[in-house]
Amino acid sequence: MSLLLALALLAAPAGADTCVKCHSTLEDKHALILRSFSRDIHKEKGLTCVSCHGGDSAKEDMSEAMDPEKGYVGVPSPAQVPEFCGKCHSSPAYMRRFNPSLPTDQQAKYRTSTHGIRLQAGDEVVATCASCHPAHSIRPAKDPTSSVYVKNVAETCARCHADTKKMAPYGIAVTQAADYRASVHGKALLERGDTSAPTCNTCHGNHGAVPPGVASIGMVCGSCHVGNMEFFKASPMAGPWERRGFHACATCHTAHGVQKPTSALLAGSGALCARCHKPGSKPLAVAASMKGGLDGLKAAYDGAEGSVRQAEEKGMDMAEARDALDGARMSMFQARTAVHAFSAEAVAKISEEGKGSADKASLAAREAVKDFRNRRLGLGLSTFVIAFLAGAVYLKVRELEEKD
Amino acid sequence: MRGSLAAAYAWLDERFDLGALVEFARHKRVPVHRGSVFYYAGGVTAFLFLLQVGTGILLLMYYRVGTDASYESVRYITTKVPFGWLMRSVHSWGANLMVLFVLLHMLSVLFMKAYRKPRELTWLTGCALLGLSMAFGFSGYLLPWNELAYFATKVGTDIVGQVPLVGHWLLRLVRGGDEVTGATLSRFFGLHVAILPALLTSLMGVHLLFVQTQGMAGADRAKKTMAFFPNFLLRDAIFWLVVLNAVCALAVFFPWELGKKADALASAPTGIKPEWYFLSQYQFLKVLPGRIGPVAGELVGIAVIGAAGLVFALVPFWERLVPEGRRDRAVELFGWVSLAVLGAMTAWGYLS
Repeated sequence: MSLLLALALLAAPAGADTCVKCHSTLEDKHALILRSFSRDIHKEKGLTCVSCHGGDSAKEDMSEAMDPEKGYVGVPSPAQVPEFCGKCHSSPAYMRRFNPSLPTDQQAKYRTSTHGIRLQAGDEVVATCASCHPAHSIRPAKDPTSSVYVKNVAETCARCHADTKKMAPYGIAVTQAADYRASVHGKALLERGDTSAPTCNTCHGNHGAVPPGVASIGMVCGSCHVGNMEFFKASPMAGPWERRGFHACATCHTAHGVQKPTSALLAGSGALCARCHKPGSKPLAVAASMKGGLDGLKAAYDGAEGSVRQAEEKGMDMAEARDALDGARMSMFQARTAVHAFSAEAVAKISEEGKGSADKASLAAREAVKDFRNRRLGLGLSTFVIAFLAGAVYLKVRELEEKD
Repeated sequence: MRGSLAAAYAWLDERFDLGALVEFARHKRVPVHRGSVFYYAGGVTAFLFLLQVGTGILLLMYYRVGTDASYESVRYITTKVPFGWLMRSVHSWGANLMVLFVLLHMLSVLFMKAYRKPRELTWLTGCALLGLSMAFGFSGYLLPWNELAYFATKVGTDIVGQVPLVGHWLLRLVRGGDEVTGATLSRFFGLHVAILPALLTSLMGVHLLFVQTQGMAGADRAKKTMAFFPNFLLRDAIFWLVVLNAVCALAVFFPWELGKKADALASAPTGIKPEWYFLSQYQFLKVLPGRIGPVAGELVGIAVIGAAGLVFALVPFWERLVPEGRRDRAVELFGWVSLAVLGAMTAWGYLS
């Protein structure tokens, strides 16, 4: 080994990085680090091994190059990692040189996270910086190959959170990743590629990751679903739920496996409301009324949409009917949102408005189809007249030609 | 009634010597043979032009030019104005049929060799009329200011910019700036409703004057002929009626779509293609490599298309260089090869 190192040093050009020179001759693990580091964002920004590990890469002698007195720290333990990365990443003055818009509060946030709190308590199994940002192959979050790119976050978190062995000591369920993938959010992001859809860190935070508690879960969901949150907060349900410790959103929609809501959640077999409210109670009557409003609007919209499509297939210009349909569609969104006010009147008012727009579109479609029939009739009549004229002219020509 | 008509005729004849005109019309003959049906293509083209003028004037009553008015006014025409939908669709279908009949007319003239001496100038005016008809189509296509029109104009005018030395100047001249904007729309409108109609009407007048002065090619040596007036003209009228009915049927069953309003910031719709009469040229330019030797591929393509058009227009002159015995076959071969290339490139353009 020493002979190999000595030979490597002799072969290397003067002034070259001795860390690279020596580690490239070592076993696969070290060569892999060097290969990975060639694509690392730190390397791209001009940093080298000593920027993080300390020491003196100009010295050819190993003991001098890796001298602790020259700041050499070697491989940090998990407990040292936040400090190790924070040397630079917590320094606004230093980070400004590379990317002024990059936050420098990651280490501070990490300390407040469940991961950070446990690490400070001596648990070295929890996630640290390098668990999510793999050392020596870190890419910026905007890079699709990065482990923290929005579409890769769920996979990165699942490496630990879907691991039964790792989660067992903490008593944490391991189904979140699978639930998320099957959820409306997971499908939007992972299947449809909608990068505005939420992933793990959207709700839990990234460096300050904690499970949102009862007090904050409504706010977390409400940061995107603003209307729903506003209606819920003003509803008669908000106070009693808070007192009983129910999650404002997750109680009905679940946390990770949120599915596309339908009116079936309100009434009928499998309705969520019936889980708590007694049959025949006023709240269930309100829920049934809201379901009726939503279903009636949807039926009116579907019917109008079909009629408009039919008219369009005949080549009729249905722009105005489409505008009315857009209005009905908007009412469908608003009525579904208004369900969170738990008021039959609120949903009925919006549903009626939407039905009015859908009826307007239906009427326009019927008129257009009638107009199309009239056009065909007109064409038939004009064809008859034209054929008569053409026939008359032809007979005249024949008469003239016979005379000739 | 007959008496008053005769009196009116006599009144006019006294002043304008109508007798000479009537005598001229009476003596004009049209050859009758198995290809005579193609003689009607010219008349149908003239009829379609009149139809375009008529529907165009009616559309002009409601059309307003401008990026914030063109699309809206066309939508108003098709949805609110009584029979506006019919006028717009007849105008759009009529334009396509007019280009089709101009091509058909020219090809029949080419294959019948009716362009030969003394009709070289009639042929050249016909070629210019084909160019003007296509310019009509291109300028009119932008006027509804919809998405397809916007991007088709952008691509079409981009080609103008490739012309060496004066390309950028020409591009700015056509667009009224560096981009397709309201200025382009105004220019195309002016071109479509004032400049092109004036040019086409004048040139068509000259073309018809040549045809009437020189008579139909081969009429003097045809075995069988027919009187132009009224026999041929009445038969022509039957074709006009049939074409009118066909255009109305197309307008009813396939009304011309308006689509979405043009948006300069939106990305071009996928699979966007020009009108069929520009598709072969477009496809040819599309399949050329970026560079051919030291020259841009598109530039080579434009030169080839320009040269091909010139060869077509100059048929009456270059065919004389071919030995007399092979002349007919050479022209026919040229005609069939041109048709095959145009047809294949158009089909390729549609399928790709």
